[in-house]
Amino acid sequence: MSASLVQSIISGLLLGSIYALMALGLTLIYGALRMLNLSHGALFMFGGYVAWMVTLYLGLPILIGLMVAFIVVSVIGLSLHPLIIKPLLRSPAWEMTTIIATLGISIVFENLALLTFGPRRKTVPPILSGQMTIYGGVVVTYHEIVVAVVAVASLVIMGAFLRRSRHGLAVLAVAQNQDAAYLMGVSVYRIFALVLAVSSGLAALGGGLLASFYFLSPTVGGTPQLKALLVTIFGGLGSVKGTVYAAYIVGLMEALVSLYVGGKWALPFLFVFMILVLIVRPSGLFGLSEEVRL
Amino acid sequence: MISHQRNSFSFWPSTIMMLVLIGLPLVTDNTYILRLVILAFIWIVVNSSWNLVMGVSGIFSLAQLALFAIGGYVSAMLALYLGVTPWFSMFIGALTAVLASVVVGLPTLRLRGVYVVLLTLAFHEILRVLIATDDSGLTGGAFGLLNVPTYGMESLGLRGSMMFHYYFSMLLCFLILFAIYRITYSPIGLAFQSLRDSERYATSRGVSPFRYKMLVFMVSAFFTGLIGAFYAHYYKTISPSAFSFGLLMNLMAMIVLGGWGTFAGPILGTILLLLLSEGLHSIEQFRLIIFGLMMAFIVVLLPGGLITLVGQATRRLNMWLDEG
Amino acid sequence: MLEITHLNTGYGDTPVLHNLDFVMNRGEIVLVLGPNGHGKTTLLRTISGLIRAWSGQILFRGRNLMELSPDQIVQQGIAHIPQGDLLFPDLTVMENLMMGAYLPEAWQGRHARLQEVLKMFPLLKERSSQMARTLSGGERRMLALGRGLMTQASLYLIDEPSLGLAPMLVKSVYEDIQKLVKQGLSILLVEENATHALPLADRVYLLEGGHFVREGVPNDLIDDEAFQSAYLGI
Repeated sequence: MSASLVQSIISGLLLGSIYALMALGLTLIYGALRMLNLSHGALFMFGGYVAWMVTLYLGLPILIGLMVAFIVVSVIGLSLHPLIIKPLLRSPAWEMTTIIATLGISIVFENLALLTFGPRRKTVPPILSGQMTIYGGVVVTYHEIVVAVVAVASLVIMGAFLRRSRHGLAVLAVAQNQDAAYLMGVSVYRIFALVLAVSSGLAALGGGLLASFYFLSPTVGGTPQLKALLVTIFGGLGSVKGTVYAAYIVGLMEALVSLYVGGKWALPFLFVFMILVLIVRPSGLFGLSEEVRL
Repeated sequence: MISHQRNSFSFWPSTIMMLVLIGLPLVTDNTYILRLVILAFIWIVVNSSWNLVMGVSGIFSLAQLALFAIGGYVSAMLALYLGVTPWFSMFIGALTAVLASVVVGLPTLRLRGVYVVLLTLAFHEILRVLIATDDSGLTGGAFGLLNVPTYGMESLGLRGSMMFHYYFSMLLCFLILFAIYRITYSPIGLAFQSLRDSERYATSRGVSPFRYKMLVFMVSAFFTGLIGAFYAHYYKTISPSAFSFGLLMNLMAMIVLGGWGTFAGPILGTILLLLLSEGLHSIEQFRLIIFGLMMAFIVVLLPGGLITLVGQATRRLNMWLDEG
Repeated sequence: MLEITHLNTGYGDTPVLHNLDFVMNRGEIVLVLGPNGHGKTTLLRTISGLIRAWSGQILFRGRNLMELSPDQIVQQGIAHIPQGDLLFPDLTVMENLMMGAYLPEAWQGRHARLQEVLKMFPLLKERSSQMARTLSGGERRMLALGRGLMTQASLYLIDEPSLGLAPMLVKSVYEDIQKLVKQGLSILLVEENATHALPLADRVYLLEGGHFVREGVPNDLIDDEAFQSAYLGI
């Protein structure tokens, strides 16, 4: 196996972990609230900026920056609950109106960031500098390792929260059968708020981690959001397990396509692949048993 | 939100407006105003076509601007590289947009709303990125195509050329709006609206969702591609900035603000936001924030858009006139 | 314990329940019989809050349930074991049971309660790490009952436990319900066919057309021929 292929696979796995973080939040929101949160990318972007600010202005290590980003953006996401979710809850065209509302919010967020931080790209310093070479020319930076560890650790913690804690289980329950969740005494309303907060925090984590790889700008959230959305469809909207698998597959695919064909073909390739998947399996890899077709 | 009330688009106000628009270039020399109105014609066509798909038929497509761009690029390239006259190439551009709509629509329109959003969004984004990173020179890459051939009206002089473009776009706009109006309120249109409001009900009544959706999508693509071609030949250039995501959101804000699902809503919204854009030009960055906020809040507070206020006002006016 | 007065409700514009009055005491097993579509499920869903009542009053241990949301009603101590089970399909049997103990008081005692439930339903113990959607009809019913028990409620609303099950399974489900009866729990049971339910009941209501047309004890009803043919299939 050539060195560049191994390199590519490693990048793919890394990308996959970050996509998983991004997509997990989206799938949780869709599962529990049946809402497509198109302001997710903006939250991702805010996460990046908060982490950057903490490291730059407070001089704290980036891990602290990530934690702060998680908390701050969770709160921002939570604010959507009374502003947007609550009023729209009774609306018959819920799916459509929340899409428009979250699109509007994303415009507001992006332009607020533009005003505050300016359009110029910012670079976030890596967590650790230096790299190591493993077997025959494959270079892995320490930064990549740390990012991978943080991403995977976050995913594992999230998974444990969802499946083992009382409230985490309630989140899954609400997504699977809302009425039954009510009958267990779950305050669905509060779970909505919890899901919003947690998924925003996850987006922030993803944003912070990704920012240290590429750069930071007000519009940096757009493409990752799109990819995360495609990941959730592929994995099955609402399915946590499916999303994680799909994220890694997509990450690997992107890395391999970049290697063999070229970076800009990654998204079109993904798109075509997605369409094929949807034709064969409309509800995605592990989609929740729900009507997807008309 | 079926707009059975044709009253909100009642006879007299629209006729007066039409007359004003027709007479405008004759009474004024102000190219700024004329150019603004032409831009309004263009966006009104795009928005009304988009509304036909989204608001009336309930297909949440974000591909509209991509189709606009396809119409523009194809027409521009045919004229530029093959010397085809714009009068003809614009129709080829429109048909190419229709073809694209079929390609996108076939897999996408069978699926539920959420999936349509994502896949059309992906389509838009991919097209934009592919064109913007195109180094081959074919599409002009990030800078776009320059020196796109015009309709050949330079011999009329500056003012004459302006008037030509004004009346041509006006004609296109009126014709297309007329077609959209007829479709919206025809049996087919009402079938579309029933689709939008309850897909299951429509299916149970024997209305085949997919074929109707495809049809609407194609018709809308034709109109949009056509005006996209006009755009290219009028501005003599077309570039990826013609279909940026920001612009897409701008247009959506116009539809949402005006009132989606209605005929007059998008028209109203387009005019209002264009005027607002011009007025707020000095505080450019805030403009977008305001638009975003408006979009989010209108959808929450006044889902029917501003046109519902107009409708209420017209009704009250009519009542008042009846009493007097 | 449960007192319903002048209850009216329905779906959309269609009324389903008309001016119902109902009383139930602690420790009682009350059976509500009725043909399908006459309001039995609606009654239970209104009590548990999944449906908003239009007018009337529902008092549970003195507390009016009318303004409460479903989760708040469950908090008061009512468990609704719904028609169709409404299990969480992508959670395991164990996780479904745990969800039953979601509320704080139930959560604290969940391990002890779990042992009791598993003793009552050993089959659930065998299947504990299986996904709920892989269970068979009878097993699902059992899980729904077990999950309901985990709430440690005071009143159990059980909606048509025999629905969709083969006769052999119905018998076994009712054997399970009998275990609950033996524990002295208060149960409001709703059914279309009375054969298995009647022997368990202390009192019976007949719900037809959204009205309670009759109320009595099983012994009185058994001898009534009209009742026999309608509800016992005789």
